[in-house]
Amino acid sequence: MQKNRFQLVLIVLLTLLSAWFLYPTFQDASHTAKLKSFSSPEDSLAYVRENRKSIERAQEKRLKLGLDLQGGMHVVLEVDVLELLENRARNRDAQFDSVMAIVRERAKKESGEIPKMLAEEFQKRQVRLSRYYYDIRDSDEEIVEKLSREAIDAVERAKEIIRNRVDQYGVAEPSILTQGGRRIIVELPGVSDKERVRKLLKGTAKLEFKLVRDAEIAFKVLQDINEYLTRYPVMPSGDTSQVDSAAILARTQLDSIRAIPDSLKTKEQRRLVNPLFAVDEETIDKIIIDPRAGFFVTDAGKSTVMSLLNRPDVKARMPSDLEFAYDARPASENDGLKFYRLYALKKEPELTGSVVTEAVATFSVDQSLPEVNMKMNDEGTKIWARTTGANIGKQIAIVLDGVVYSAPVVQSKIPNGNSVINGIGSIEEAKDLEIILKAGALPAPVQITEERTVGASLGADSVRAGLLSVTLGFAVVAIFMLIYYRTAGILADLALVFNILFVIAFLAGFSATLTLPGIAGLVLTIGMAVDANVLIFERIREESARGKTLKLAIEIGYEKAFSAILDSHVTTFGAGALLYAFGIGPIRGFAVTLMIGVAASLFTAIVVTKVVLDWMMERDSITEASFG
Amino acid sequence: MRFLEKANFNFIGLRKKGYIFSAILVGIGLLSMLVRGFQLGIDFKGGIEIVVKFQDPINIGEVRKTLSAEGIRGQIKEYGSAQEVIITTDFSGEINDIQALIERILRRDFPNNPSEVIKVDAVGPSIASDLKWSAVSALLGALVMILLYVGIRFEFKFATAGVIAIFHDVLVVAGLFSLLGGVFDVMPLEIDQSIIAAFLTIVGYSITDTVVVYDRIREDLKIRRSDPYEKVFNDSLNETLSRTMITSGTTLLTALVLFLFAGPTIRGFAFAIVAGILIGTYSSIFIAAPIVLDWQQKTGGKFKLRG
Repeated sequence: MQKNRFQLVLIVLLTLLSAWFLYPTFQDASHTAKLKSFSSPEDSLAYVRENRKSIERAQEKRLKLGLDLQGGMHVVLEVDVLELLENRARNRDAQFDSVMAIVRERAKKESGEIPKMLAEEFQKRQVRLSRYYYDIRDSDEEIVEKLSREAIDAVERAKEIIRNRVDQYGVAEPSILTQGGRRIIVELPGVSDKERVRKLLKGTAKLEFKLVRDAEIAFKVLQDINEYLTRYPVMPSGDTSQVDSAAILARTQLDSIRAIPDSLKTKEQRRLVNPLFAVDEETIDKIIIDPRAGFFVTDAGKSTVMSLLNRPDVKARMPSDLEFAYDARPASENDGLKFYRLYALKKEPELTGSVVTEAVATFSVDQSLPEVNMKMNDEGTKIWARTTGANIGKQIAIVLDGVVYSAPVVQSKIPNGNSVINGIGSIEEAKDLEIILKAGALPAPVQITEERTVGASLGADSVRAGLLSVTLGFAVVAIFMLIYYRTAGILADLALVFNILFVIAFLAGFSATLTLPGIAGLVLTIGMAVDANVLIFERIREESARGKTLKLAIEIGYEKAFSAILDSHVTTFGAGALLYAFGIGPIRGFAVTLMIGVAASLFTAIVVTKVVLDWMMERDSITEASFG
Repeated sequence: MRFLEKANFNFIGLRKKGYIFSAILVGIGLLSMLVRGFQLGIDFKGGIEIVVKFQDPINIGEVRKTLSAEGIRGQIKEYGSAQEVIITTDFSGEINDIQALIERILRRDFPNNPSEVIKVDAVGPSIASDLKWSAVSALLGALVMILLYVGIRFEFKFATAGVIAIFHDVLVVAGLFSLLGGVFDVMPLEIDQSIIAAFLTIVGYSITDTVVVYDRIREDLKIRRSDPYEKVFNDSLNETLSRTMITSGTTLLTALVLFLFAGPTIRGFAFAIVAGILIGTYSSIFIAAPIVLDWQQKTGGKFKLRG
């Protein structure tokens, strides 16, 4: 034992360190089991209060499971930096818009920085950025730098706002990071309501108070668009003065149809002259006109109607201060069809959400429906009083992110800066609105560009599958080694146990997360970790077959096998390191387990087995037959 | 138990046949990559994958019919079991809309077999191109690193031959993925991030196997200065054969365990590893060392080995 004192101390130290790393995981598990055993909530509350420190510490230091094992959402949000830059520009013209469109396409496919792309595209066209941004004397480089800083600031601000929202929603251990110039990575373990979270993350929270235009004006505009669409079912390309003969033919045909009184038109004829309006049951995906109540669109037609109304040539025909928007939720439901009201709004808002200082989700007094009460700052209160005073009897729409939540008729002047959002589906939604309004509006819209969501049940299935794989993988390899090498096989198996212990302990110690690919890495490590022992044992067999004494054969075996073991471990470790550098999420978990496994096997397969072998040699309890 | 202890196969004599066999394998793989290409997973082409779990087994044809009737375009396949269905569609930021639509249709058309969305993966095109770039960098980085390390530890010829063997292994496995991609319903063999991880593992495994053989060749070359290179190489291959087979065997066993028991997300990965171990074991015997030998004999002279 004397000569291996250092090795022994090392083994003991590493084992103690592993125990230290793994202790919080056990502690956490026992706390969880304890909490489950309580029957009343008071008992568990008391237990939590009593052991708060230990519970929190255990939670922080335990081996963390990846989102793919415990369930949860990994979302990458992309901040629409381009929109921000678009709004920052002055003297916008057709050239600017066309370059913006090109950059938008590029940004969808590339991940570079938007301001740089913008500069490149303008340079291609020999246009200086100072024409649109900052001071006319600034160079392109200076402007790119300033715009980049603005973009980064916006992403940082967006991150903080999203963190606020997530905190208020209540997620344990969320992780929110920015990546590159325009992405925010959000990791939310354990959330189950995917739809709600997506809305919460994406909601720009742009709150606007807009006047509703009179129904007659709206009808006139829609009629005009309808008539225009009969002539141009698709957007005319380029020069409109050049009308091709087929279009002229169609137009004379349309005129003759229009001349027929409505009641005498056939079904087809009526449909032909009403591309925007519903005329019968089968054209229900268009705008339905109810002479008493207004305009409606079913959920089937929402997107087609809106894309027609947003066509650039159609927009050009509309009064410039008018826009259309839908209700947030259906005004009525019939036969499984949902009818959404189509509002004509004044484009310029009377007031925006920036004046809102307080928001509270509650139930309305009279009907106990969910609503959000808001309070405004002094300036907002003043404007709100003036606006409501001047528009008594008219409707003001409360628009959030482009959809109308409610459009109450102004009864009287509101002097105290109070306003209410109603028309909300549930109290949860009202709570989410409250969260979003309180956290503030995002500086630019965000879009989900990547999402990986795993349900809790699938995560539990994966944990089971992973545990089964580790157990079976260990069992087959261990049994094989026992059969093949007998006593020496026991040593290799012992080394393997240490290896698995070290991998799991160091994962916890480095606060890495265990993912399903990570478990796969562990299972493969089990298969590969015995390689070092196989190399050594084969060499010992070989040397003793050449007539060397057992003691000498063992010494030579360990010595000669070492260089091959080192080389092979270094290369595998390197491959793991590269995978870690370039991979994301769960794949990184695989790389980490592989690296720890390889490093640990260098120690366990060589040092641990050698110490035990030496000890057995001293006691003469080993013969050539011990190597199978 | 002993196995292949006194092995004396004429590997070096068979090397020309090995080259031809490998050339055919790689050729078929490359041809398939050119003609058939790969089944790219959403990691690299972008898209949305939604996995729905039904309470009872379901007829996949009916699900396909009812979903495509509602205008959901894309692939609809079984996912691991008859209860789970994976729907792959084009990417859009409005994941809520797509998920809600699918849930509504399935609830309406299969009222007696309730279902639940258990997994959503959505990858936008800009992320997909980033991931592609990372995958290529990681693979190339691994090759350069190995070239350098083995070059420093042994000699340039050994390093080059090792990297050729790695290329060979990865190409054969990639060819297999191209050839069989989309053939099996239980195992789509799509190229995604986990397959890149598998390729890197194969790279690591392949060079490990090769380095062990190299190490023995280096040792034997020092001891047996008078023997012809062919004999030294062949003896070294035979001496390490039992180790090669045992380690391949244990790793293969664990990879098979993963393939069978670790669930559908890991299956493609495990398949790649199984194929990689088989081909990597073969190439360390029939490709790497023989190339070093042939190269040395072409250029003449003696080995100047480090280490």
